[in-house]
Amino acid sequence: MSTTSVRPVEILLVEDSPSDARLTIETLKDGRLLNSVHHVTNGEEAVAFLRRESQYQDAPRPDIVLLDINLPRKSGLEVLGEVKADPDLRSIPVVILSTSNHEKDVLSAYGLNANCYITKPVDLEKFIEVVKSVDHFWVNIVALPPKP
Amino acid sequence: MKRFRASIRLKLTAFVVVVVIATECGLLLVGFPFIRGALQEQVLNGLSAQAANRRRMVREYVGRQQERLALITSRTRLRQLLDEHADGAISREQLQAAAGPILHDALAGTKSVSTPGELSGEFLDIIVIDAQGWAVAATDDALLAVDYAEHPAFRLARESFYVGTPQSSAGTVIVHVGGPAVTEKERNFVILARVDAAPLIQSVGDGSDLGQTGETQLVQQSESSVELLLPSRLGATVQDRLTSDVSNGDDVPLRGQIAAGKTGIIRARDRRGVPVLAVYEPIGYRNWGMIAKIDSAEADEPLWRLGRWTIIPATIVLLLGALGSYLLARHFTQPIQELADTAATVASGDLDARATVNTHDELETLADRFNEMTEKLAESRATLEQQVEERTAELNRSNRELEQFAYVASHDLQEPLRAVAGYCQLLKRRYLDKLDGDAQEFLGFAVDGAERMKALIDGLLDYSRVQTQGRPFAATECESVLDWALRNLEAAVVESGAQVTRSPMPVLYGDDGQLTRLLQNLIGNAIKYRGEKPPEIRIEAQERDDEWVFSVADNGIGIDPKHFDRVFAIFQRLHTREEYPGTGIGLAVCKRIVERHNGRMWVESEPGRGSVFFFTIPQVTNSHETEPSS
Repeated sequence: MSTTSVRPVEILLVEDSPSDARLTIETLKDGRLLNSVHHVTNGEEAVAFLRRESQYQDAPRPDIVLLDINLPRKSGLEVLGEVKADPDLRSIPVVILSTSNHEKDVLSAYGLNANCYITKPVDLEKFIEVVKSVDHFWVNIVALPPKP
Repeated sequence: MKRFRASIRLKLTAFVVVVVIATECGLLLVGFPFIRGALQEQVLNGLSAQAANRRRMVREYVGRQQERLALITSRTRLRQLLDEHADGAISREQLQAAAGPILHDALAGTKSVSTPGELSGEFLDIIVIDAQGWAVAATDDALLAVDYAEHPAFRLARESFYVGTPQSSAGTVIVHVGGPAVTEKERNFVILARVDAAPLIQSVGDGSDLGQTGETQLVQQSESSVELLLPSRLGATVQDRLTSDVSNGDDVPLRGQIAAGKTGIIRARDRRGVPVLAVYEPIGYRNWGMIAKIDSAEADEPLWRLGRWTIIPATIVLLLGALGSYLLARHFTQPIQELADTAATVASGDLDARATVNTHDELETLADRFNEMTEKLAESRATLEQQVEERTAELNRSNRELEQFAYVASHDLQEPLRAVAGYCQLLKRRYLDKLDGDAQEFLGFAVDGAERMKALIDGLLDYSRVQTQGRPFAATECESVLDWALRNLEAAVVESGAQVTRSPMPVLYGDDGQLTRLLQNLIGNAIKYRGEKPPEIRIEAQERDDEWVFSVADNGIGIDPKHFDRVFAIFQRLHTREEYPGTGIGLAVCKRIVERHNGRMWVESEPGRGSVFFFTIPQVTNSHETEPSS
């Protein structure tokens, strides 16, 4: 709680849609949050990033994962399952992003111990609110930079 | 209420039994009098023959005595002696001394001969009586010097041959016979003889041809009754001077008949009080008659025997008839039963069942037609099943397509929409101050349009998910369902100052999530469409027939009855978005939830006076939706 105040929050964004990814990144930029977003576009890459495999050997350990449910090759739920089954990665908070509020999705996600589940909002303001609300559980751990 | 039912087998058997019994009764009714007549005639013929036989014997007996007396009176020496005595030529002692041996000789003559088959009877003694009634000569001296003047035998015998009524004397029964004896000198004497009646009694009383109770009786008609002259076979004795066995008042016609010398038949009671059948015939001497009688019981016995022997074959015929008709009925009913059983099997769903009837008659034709019908039924069911299968497959395909659509709508459609809306908003956020008035306005419309489209797509998904994403039905506490709905609406309730009242809620079978949604939508609408007064909302559940009727009543703006159908249609709205925001999906979803629970939904309302939304949920759901999770 002492020395991390200058370190940006490391965010792994797993999102296949370029527009959603960019929007999320832009939104995070607008937020009063010092962050470093790492963007991957599919589940396999996300797992590789987290396990620092192949080209991600030097990747940082993310402070939070923003995980889209609908991903090519390996779905968000599969990624979540692998993260939560890995003792090294289990402690990383995972926020599920989805367009759908299917109860089934919600239940599966919670069944897999996702830390939070968020329907991707179209509204930017709400989106920022959501990200901020995600902030809440590490805002108390990680010192935030002063409001720009 | 079960009506009595008799099988054809029973009916047919009963019918044949009735017919056989009726036939037998008919034959008996017609035949019995004939048989009875014939049998009775046989008995009467037997009695008549016996009566005639005995009558002949009696006549012979009387005739025999007459001949014997004639032989005695024809003795010349006797007549000379009587003349001499009458002339006073010889004394009575002399007469006795001379006539006694002659009479003894005659007496001995009656003892010596007894022709077989002839009814005779021994002369016990002989007396000669003069015209004044004095016994002048006899076979026994002790019989002399007796005055017979008043003796009936003397008086009658003086006129003609006479046979008296049998009399009991010292243990034997005797008969007086007598007749006039006229001498050469025209002097009248009477000769009397006492004759042993035992042979007569034996012959007349012989019952060997008369069965157990038959007997013949020699009777004579007197002033007031018919008197028995000889002891009868069955115990009537002469000593008793009994009236006839056939009496007791019924002897009046008998007496008349006998007096009139007529033959006749009579049914009467005898002195024992036993019913008898009697035949009587006049002897032809004085007022004597012969009665032959037999107990009715014995006379009719052959008839009863015949009856008994008739019952056995009749019963056999009856049993055979019943058995035959039972077998016949079974022959007919077995194929019918087979058909009925097969029909029951077919009715229970097994269309492969076939009736096996090989009777080579109409029933077999019926069974064949039935089998054909079942065949056709099976074919058409197979066709139907195939069609249903095809339709079901089609339906499943279309359901899958709908689900696919839902997926597309939720993800693929929303992604570009999100891009449009998101970047419009980003533009607005970052570059609003760099745009002119028109551009700002256009951007505003673009953002608003994207928002609305998102709301519509979300509503559509909600609507389709009622059916595709519903949870299995389970016992649901509606109290807590309502609690949940109100908790979700807490902010709106507080904000609007709504007064919510509720009746007790039931436990029913359903999807608690959807029921919560249902009540929440309705109560939410009641708050949303409130009038100027603070909302008063009443939620009730009432049991009616086999369902629960829920109602949510408010005091809001109400609905014009012409819009009642419209409010439940998807995306149909009665107000502009400026008046009341919304997509027009809420009540459509409500109705769809109610329909999934096999209920009905409707509204009663008056503009300005509030609305009441009703829906029903069956108490016991038979929904195909229902697959209770265990």
